[in-house]
Amino acid sequence: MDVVKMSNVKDKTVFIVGGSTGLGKEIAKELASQGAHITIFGRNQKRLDEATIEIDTAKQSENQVITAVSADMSDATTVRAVFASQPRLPDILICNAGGTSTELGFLIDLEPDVFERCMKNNYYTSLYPARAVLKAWVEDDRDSKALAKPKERKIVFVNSTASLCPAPGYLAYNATKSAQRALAETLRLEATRYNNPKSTYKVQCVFAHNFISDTFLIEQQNKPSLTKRLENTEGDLKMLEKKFPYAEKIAPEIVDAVAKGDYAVLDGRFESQIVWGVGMGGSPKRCWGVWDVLLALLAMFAWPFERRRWGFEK
Amino acid sequence: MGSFLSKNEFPVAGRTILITGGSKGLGLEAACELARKGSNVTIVARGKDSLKDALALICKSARSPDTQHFHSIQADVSTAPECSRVLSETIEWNNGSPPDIVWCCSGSAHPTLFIDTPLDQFQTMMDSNYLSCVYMAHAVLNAWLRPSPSLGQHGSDSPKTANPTPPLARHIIFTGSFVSFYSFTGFTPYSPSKAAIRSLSDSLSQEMNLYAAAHPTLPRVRVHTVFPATMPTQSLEDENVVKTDLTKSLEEGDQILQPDECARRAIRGLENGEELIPTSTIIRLVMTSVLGGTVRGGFWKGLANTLLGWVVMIVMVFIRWEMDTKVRKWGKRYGSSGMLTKQ
Repeated sequence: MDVVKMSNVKDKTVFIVGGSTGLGKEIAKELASQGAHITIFGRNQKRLDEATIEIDTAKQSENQVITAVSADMSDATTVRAVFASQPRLPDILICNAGGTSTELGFLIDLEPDVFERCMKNNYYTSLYPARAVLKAWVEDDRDSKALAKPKERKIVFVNSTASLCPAPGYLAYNATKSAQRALAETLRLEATRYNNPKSTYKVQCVFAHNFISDTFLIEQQNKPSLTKRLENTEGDLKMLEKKFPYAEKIAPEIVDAVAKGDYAVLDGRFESQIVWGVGMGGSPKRCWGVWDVLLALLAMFAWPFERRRWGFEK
Repeated sequence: MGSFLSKNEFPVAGRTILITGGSKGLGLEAACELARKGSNVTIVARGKDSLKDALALICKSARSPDTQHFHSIQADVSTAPECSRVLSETIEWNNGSPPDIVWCCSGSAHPTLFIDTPLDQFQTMMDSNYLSCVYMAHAVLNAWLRPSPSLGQHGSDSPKTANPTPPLARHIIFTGSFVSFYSFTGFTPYSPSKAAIRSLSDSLSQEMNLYAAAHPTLPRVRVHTVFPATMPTQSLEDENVVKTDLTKSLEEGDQILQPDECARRAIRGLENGEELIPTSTIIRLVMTSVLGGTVRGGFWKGLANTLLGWVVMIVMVFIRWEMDTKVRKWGKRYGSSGMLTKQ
């Protein structure tokens, strides 16, 4: 268990892949307000520029450095070059790129190129940055001097309740999130091997549940009606607002939960907790695991009824 | 609830089966066993020579060599066009009808530590293990659920025959892994692809309910994933060349199963109508704790699985803790290469 429960991000450097819109941007703003230096990575220069202004406005002090880099983070060579050219190694890497605005639907309605594209956007954009940064950290440990307190090095993968409770209509996306989750869990174990007096390594996984953002609204236009019914996202924006929070509401909750240090990170809603209960499986339990085990037992009871409702809906 | 007498939910005699990765290991053994049960088989693989040898073995296993047909196709199923081609060639060979059953066994494992893994391996693993399954499923499901007018429909939608018995179900079978459920050190290139396969299986199974309801006269499509135990095959030997000693030590106590026994257990599970099919006790136990939203197999089975799941869940807490400790101790003692000799 962590001795220092609340991790302080003041003066720390944070890289956020997929930090120019939605949840990534809101997390960037929250971290900026807590004193961190932020570099966001994305593909769209215009969105990056707009996001930089917003994040800059949120910062705590003038010493904080807020920058943006436009690059295709799903390409291994590009990622390596882009990270190598940064002035500083990050303390925290947040892999937030992803989403599925144009890959929704049932298997036989999709074109085959959709699957590779979805995997690129959601899995490789986590994989290559994580690998590049982990490699750089391990090399830095070899060459650097020991400090009074070990450096805290952290990778946070932003995953989804899609990997806990897959819903129909998200076939392409669910698989990519399952892949990202398997990567996060395996890496968590592997990373602990690199712990040494100079640095401690931590891997965390955020299971984000449905929230409202620009990407979500585009998704809604492409989503099959059946999917909307099953995941309770039917209705216009006004109705959705009643049921789901905006990204800016859950971002601070997520940042807080990340600071607590547990592997699995959820936002504050009870619904998210129950979905975690259903799908946690062999994943590391939070804290001592008591609450998570109870959740899982409760969910095991309740889930078959929900699943049967889905069956009937179809 | 289903009768307690064994009802075969996977009849194969006289039916046509397409097996990718069918020239070695589990795929080859499954092909031989299915030939013994009277089916026609097409195997797909990349190696011409291994295909030839495999086909000879399968023919020898045939129950009725005069009436059963066997075929092989050389292809690399990790791309969509190749999967499309494999399917059209199979349809042509099968007198204009798509295969009744498709079993995706193609794939490989490259278990190395994350930062030591060559960059292109990640893509290779994902392509050969997961994408090959999606592309194959995409091709065959389009043929089954959206047949073109030129294909024979085999009486499935014909209004002429008053058909009291529903048409035989079609099956698509994927091959998962222990690490689809529970991954550990050394498998970062591999387990994401296997987790993706499990997710695909669950998603497709849900979607098939939709088609079954919308087209009640078409044969139902059942989706399954087989989870093979560790098998002493050529592929395992290739794996062990790159695998770290740390991973090997974590795998100690693994149940090793001959591929033919694995194939037999898989087929038994299919005949029982199971969706997720474990082939060893350890896999079954772990599976019950990670079923999550997956179909649990009817009322009684589901109850048994759920209860078992509760027990395993508690046990998992200790297993996880034990593994974490082992890995940390290793790091302290042997350094970060994962190999016994200090590097």
